[in-house]
Amino acid sequence: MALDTARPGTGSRLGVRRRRPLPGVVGLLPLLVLLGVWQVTASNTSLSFPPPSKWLAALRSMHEQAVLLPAIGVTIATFASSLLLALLLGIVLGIVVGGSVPGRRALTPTLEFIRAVPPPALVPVVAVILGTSMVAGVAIVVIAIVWPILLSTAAGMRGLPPVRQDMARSVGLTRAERIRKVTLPSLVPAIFTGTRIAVSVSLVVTLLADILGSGHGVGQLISERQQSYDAASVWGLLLVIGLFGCVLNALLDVAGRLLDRGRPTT
Amino acid sequence: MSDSAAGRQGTIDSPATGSGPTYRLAGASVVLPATDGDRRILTDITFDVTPGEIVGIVGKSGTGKTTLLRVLGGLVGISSGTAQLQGRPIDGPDGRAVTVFQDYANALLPWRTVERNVGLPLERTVPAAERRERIAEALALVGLSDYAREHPWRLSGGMQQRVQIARALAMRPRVLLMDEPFGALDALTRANLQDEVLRVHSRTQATIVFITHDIEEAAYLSDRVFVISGTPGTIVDEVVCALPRPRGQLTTRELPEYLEIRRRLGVALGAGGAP
Amino acid sequence: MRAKFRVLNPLGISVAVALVLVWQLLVSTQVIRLTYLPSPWAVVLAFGELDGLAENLAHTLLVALVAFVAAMVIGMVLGLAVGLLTPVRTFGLASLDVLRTVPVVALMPVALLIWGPSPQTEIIVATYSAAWPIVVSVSGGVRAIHRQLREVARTLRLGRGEEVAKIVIPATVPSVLVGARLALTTALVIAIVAEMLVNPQGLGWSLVQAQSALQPAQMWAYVIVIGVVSLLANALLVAVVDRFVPGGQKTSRGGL
Repeated sequence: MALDTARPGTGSRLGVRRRRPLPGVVGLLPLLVLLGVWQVTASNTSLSFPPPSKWLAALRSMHEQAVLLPAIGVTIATFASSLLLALLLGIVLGIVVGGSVPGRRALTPTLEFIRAVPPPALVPVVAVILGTSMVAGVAIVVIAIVWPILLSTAAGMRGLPPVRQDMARSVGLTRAERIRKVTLPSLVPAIFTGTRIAVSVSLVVTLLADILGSGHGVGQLISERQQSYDAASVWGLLLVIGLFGCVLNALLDVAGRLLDRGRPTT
Repeated sequence: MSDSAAGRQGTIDSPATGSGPTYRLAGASVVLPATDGDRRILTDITFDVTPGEIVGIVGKSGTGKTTLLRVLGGLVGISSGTAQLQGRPIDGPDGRAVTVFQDYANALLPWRTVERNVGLPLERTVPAAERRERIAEALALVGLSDYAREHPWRLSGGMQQRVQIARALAMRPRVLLMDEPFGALDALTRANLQDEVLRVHSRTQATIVFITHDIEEAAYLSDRVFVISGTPGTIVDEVVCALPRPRGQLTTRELPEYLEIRRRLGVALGAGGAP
Repeated sequence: MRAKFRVLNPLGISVAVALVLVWQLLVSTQVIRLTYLPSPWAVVLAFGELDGLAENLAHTLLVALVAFVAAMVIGMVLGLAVGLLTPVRTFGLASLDVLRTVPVVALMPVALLIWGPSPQTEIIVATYSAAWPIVVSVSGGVRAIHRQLREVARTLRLGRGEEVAKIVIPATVPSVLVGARLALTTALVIAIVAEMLVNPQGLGWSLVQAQSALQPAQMWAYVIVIGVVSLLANALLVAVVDRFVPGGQKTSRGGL
């Protein structure tokens, strides 16, 4: 979910500076305690709340049926390739749209309306047009997530100090050098902000496209298991997806810190 | 020609070998598009700048000073007349004339260290080993050798402006153009940097053209000062500052000639009190 | 970009119109032949075929509104707790962060298992998603304000309860509004997603029904309705935020 867009770049995502004596892992205690209590108290026959040990068993059995890893693979492949494509497309278009005043004026109303449509609403429409192949899945996700990257890049482009471009020309950089050494690095924070939003939207849209477009990823798998009332598998898959979300978030934090290295903190 | 140009060999650059002027502008004017149609910014600018000279340009805001400097730096094209650098029409920035901007914070790339900022113009053209030498030389020239690996935004404003000057010097340009280079600095730092520029000039013999709104700064640094005025702007006066070099903040500023130049500039700008 | 919108932008509007015309031309001359890409005109006609649009719209809006109000209450309580109480922060923050990163689509099958296909399930899921922006915004806001105003509270000799009631909560209004804007659009979007997956009612359900009936023109019509509704919801909250928070809207762009 894109809830932390208000404060891109802050290490702690609840906008609270953690100046704490205890390590952050302590914060995971309630979750672990909850799972422990659940394990001890839940009945093995519960229809909706099977104990965590059963989740793991369900995951193992899905793995033995050779459905788990392929599904995860499809989802990760869709997610990663659509994110890369969206980045490429969004950055290039964002530079074009944000870089020229006529371009900006010409495209702003159109872009603003497209942006207003919630990405999930586009999923069934594009799925119907493009079909259910993996390529279609990628296209659906790209169409849904390219906007935050594009708009953020364009905004960054508008915010570029004009003197920076003058300087780049004055010291004799070629056009390619100017883009590579001055424009793109200047846009990094803006692109990163857009990417953060895109990533969280992308997770949702990838899973949704999977379910509505009857793909072969984790979304489809969890939906199937739910329809056959296989609660343990559903919870197990939720765990897998949740872990994936956490890992992604952690990666984004690390990437954000790396990208911010050597830059002023304001 | 100023007192110091001929004969001495600069450590970074030698003055133009040809005998012609560095800059020759004749009847140059600039028309730029604005929201309400085209607007004439500069009109009928005519002057020569000789090699190794320091020329100050003063004028009130809105008279096109910055545009004139951008013309000299090849960042803006002229609409009519001629503008030549070393006998050739100015056609874009080509490394012979480099601009030092007032807004140092944005003219330096914050994600690069000082040395990598200075090396930026050399990356495509100069091999790594020579590049390192030239960066070190340029940083030594502005007294920043100890800060090569710092990020510019960690330095004071005056030091950041020195980094910009070093970056320009590393290119070994014929001309150093400075757009209100010290306008954003406090008085003390300003005086220091003025002397720094004079020192750099005496060692490199680069021609310097700078803009300022400070008539004292213009009088102190320049061989000649152009006064620009009007809308569109044009050069209305030229004041020769035949003050002895090397100049000093205290000694030079006490000379009667200095005071006279200052007075003349004040009158020409219509701001300096009674004639 | 919003400022640009206020001045009339003939170029931009003609580009938008031109794009629609080109689309129409490409489809009706069959230059593009995608079976399920309708022409804009077909989409316009499809608006007349939308059965029960008013009902579905009302359902989705009602769910979004209920979820929004519930999320405001829950989000504020949680946000205040995280912002004000150090133990909650120490022992809860990481857990909340973990929960927050779980994509809501993955929670829907679980919700379906537990509560079945019903409006309640839809409301629960939408509330859950919409509460996060408020938690984030309020906890951040409270922390910032708390430090500044604590001194004031101490000089005025206010008790802990009084401090919260008279100082912290009023001073948190701007961050609440900023979070509220994101929360309302989130509630709306997630309600629609839930209708697609969980509860067969409302705009989201109509959209996937049009999908399985292979009625692309109707789908586009629904997408336009959804787009206009979220545009209006967003504009409403932006107006509110602009009214009460100077410069506040700048801090909360984007969102799902």
